[in-house]
Amino acid sequence: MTSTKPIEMFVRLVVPDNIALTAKHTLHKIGFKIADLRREDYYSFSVDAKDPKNTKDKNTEDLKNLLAKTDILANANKHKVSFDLERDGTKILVTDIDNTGQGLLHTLRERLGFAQIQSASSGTLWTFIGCKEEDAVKMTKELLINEHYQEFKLLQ
Amino acid sequence: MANKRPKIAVIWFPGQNCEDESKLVCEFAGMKADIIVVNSSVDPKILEQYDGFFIGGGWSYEDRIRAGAIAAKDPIMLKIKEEAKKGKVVLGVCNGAQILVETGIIPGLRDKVQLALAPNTNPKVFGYYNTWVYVKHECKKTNAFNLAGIDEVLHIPVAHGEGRFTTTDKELIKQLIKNEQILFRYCDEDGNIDEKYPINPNGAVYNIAGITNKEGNVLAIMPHPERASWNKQLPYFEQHNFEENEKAAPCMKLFESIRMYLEKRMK
Repeated sequence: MTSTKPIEMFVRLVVPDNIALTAKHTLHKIGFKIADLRREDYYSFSVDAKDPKNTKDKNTEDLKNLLAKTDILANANKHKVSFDLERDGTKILVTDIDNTGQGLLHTLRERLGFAQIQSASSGTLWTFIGCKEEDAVKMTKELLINEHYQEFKLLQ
Repeated sequence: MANKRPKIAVIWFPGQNCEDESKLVCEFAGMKADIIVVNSSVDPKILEQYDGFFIGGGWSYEDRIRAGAIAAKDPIMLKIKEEAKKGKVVLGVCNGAQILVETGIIPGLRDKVQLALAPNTNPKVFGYYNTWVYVKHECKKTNAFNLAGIDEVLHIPVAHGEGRFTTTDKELIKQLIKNEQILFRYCDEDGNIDEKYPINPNGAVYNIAGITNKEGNVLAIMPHPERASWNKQLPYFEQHNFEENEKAAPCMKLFESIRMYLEKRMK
């Protein structure tokens, strides 16, 4: 049986992020206090780990490098790509309830040739700086999701 | 007063792009209309002098976070919510509908957001989708939008990426049906309902295209009636002569209904 291993990818703008800034200003306007709010595109992949080409660390690193260079997921002129979660602030991941990631998977496998990727999903990762975790959850519910088609979870 | 025409405020959030056509259709239907530009200096109290509000299409605040989310938190929307409770008319078309849903004014049964206009589920096109569809008017109850009579089936354009009415509240749709709040449903040319694409262009639950509040003075509708209100706007307009093309198409009745409803209130 083929086993898989997970890879998480975080894509952040290195130019000012108007969406994060607007979200922060709106949260201030409706009465929340927060020092900073960051936003990243989040991708999670399950990668075939039984394939000999993918079991060695070097191959995993090669795969990460290739993923970072696909201009579908990130644009090198304005994005920074990371495969490690930074340990600052409160991290909340927002995803669409019924997004199965099939579109993303199809693009990666059929168009870009990443045959070793077995599943893919995406979302938006928000980092709340300078507020309590419970307040970050309140802000998420108030502005950052519509619970009728989105959900969220805290990332540790 | 005999010749007093109802006054509509066309609300224009940054990023919206339908303000002129929205104003024009209100004027053609016999109302006065002003475009109110929403910015940091606008005082929401200005809305008190208007009889109704038209929030049109576009991308308010670039759809940042999600469609309608930022505009829904603007103080101007709190004021519109307040004015709607007095019985004034509120029409939200496309992005305007998304804003009304994000404020909870639609469906308005509880003081919370009860619905979403989620990204389309369309087997052919991912994201923004632009086409002509048919909608069925099946509300027997008279409200501010069908007072002048509405054809049973309307041909009307849609243009959106996030137009799928959905909810996690399993009882809500039953309640909306019972209350006759579902004004328009996607259908075929003959009025038959089919939940599949292309009849249902975005995967909306119960084929919902437009919902009113319980009182019937607020409507959130994803298709654009203001883009199908003259014969010249219809896809088969070539069959008419110039004079015919300048005449009102069936969707104009929705705006005539608003005028009639407001005139009644003003008496």
